[in-house]
Amino acid sequence: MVPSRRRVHQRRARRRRHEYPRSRYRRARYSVDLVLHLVSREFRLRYRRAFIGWLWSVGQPLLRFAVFAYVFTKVIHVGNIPRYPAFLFIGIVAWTWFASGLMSATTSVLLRADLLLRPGVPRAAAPVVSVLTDMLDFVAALPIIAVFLLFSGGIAPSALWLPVLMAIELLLILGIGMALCSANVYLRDVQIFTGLVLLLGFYVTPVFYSRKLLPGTLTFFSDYNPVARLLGAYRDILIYHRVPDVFPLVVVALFSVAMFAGGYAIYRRASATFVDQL
Amino acid sequence: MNVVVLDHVHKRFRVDFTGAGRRLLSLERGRVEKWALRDVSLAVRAGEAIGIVGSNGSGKSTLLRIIAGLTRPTAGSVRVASGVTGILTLGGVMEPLLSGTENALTGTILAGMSRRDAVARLPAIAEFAELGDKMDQPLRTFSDGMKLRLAFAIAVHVHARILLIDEVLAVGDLRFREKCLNHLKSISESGVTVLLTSHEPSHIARLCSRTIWLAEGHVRVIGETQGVLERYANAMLEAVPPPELLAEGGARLGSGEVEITDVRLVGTRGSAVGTLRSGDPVTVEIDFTVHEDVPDAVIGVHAHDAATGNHFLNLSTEGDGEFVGRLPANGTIRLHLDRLDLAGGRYFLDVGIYESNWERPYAMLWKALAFEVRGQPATGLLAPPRQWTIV
Repeated sequence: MVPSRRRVHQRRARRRRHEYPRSRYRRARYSVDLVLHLVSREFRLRYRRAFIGWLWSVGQPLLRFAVFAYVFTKVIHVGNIPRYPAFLFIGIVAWTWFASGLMSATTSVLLRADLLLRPGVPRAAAPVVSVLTDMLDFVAALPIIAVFLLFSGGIAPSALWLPVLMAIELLLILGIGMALCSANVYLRDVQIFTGLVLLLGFYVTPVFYSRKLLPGTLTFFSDYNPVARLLGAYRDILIYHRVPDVFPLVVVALFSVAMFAGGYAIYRRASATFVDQL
Repeated sequence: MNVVVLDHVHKRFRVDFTGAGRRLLSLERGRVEKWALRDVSLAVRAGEAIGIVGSNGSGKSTLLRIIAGLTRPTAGSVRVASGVTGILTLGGVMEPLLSGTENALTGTILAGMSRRDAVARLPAIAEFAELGDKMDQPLRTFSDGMKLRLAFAIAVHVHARILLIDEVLAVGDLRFREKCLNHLKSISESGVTVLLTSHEPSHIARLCSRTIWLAEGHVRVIGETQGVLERYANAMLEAVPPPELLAEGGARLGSGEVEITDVRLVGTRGSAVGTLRSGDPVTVEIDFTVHEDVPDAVIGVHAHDAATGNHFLNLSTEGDGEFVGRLPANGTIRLHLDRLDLAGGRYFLDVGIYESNWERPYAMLWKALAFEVRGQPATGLLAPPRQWTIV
């Protein structure tokens, strides 16, 4: 019996279901599947053998907060900042994401060299997975931020800006991270240098102090620093119940998008031969 | 239809960027370069199985990486149909703290499956890998062989169109290797294109219709497997000094790191014999002296018929999955055969101790020993114990 055309067509379609993702759409969906799987696996692994497990993702920022709160209220005075605990905690959490995300993106390809040896796995998977995993630590800290806010003035509708700010920060980290990562494959100096710059960044960015504390000559570091601007915006929408200043935020957003586009372009070019260097 | 087309592909590596700054400061210029592939052209039809042979550093892995799209050629063009998967690396993404199942899921997704399809495949993968209950335990409790089984099971269960396998079949026990080879054969027959590199010519001979021989990045020969493998094996002998001829057309050859000092057949009474009874057990003993330390070796015992020169026995430690390791300064290799059902006649034994990747013999004795088998002479080689019944 000659199978009808329709039957043949159906059979082919059925066979293709289990085959490789070929169309652009299916490739995109596959990439999402892959990244989500790797991120959740990475996150679970991070606290796998710890006695209190994932509670560390909450415990870590809290303990870090306790250390800084002690230092900056009892040892050193950073001036009078209204609702300082919430101010400090938000600063720590948002900065930690930036710093650890950037660092792990920079070393991602070296630590996950195996991902680049898998045919069909998008090369950007390594840095993207690193940064998103670090973002989960931020997300895990959100409920604590909420608790802090409830004790200091409540939460206002301006908090709905949060996803926008997070998206901007994500693009910023990914952009810089992929560029640094590309360089780091060739020159390991980059990861050492990045660590040092981030250390400096922690002090010149108003994480634990307010911009007003800076002498005039140093405001430069917080005015032309996208992370400082982002921290300001986080605090505006969460603590001070204000919509962030639109113009500076748009500038930061454009800057982040440009960094992302640039970083991705560099990474795309460089990653085509990463395997040769690993 | 061609699924892989390589057109004049070159690949250059710049060796080591580190210390470039220091070199710059000392004004010491000059960059170290290495051509891993030179002018490689190749067309693979859908459903073909291609073997790739060549010594270490001949560019086999680079070739597979380029076909897999993992890296870009320095010059030349590459066209590969979508749907490539393969085992180019073992481990790495494998996570020792997670269970076998979780690792299998990750591996399957990385091999190109959506999460849903990957979950659906897990039982089949566990079954093929013969890991059953073990799958729920953390991967750190798995042996290397088990990890390989898992990796292999994943690779053959993702239904790719092109499957690349780089040297991994050497791990794992003999029975599983056999199963892998059979499975590869069947998926290759079902239309999947397979490219396989191996140091074990017999794997390639069983699986591949065509073989490429790479030497220093060039395609030395490409063609029908049998012919290429023969030329490859002969070239191995060209790499060592000319043979010293012995009586009866025998020869001693090798690069000389190891010397074979004596070869004997030991019969049932424990003494060296020159004549056996058909069906008797027998032990081959090879005495050797190591002149220059070698990290690993493969030992081969071969036999051929004096009358026709036909090889009928071809045993090696690698083929049997035995690991030799560092040889002692002086020693004896024993190969016990439970029975040898040869027809009566005269036969020759050939023995060799080879470099672990078969690149050259350290020592080889061609016609090391002649032996007689007493028994009914026959036109065939074998005389197994037998019984006729007619019903």
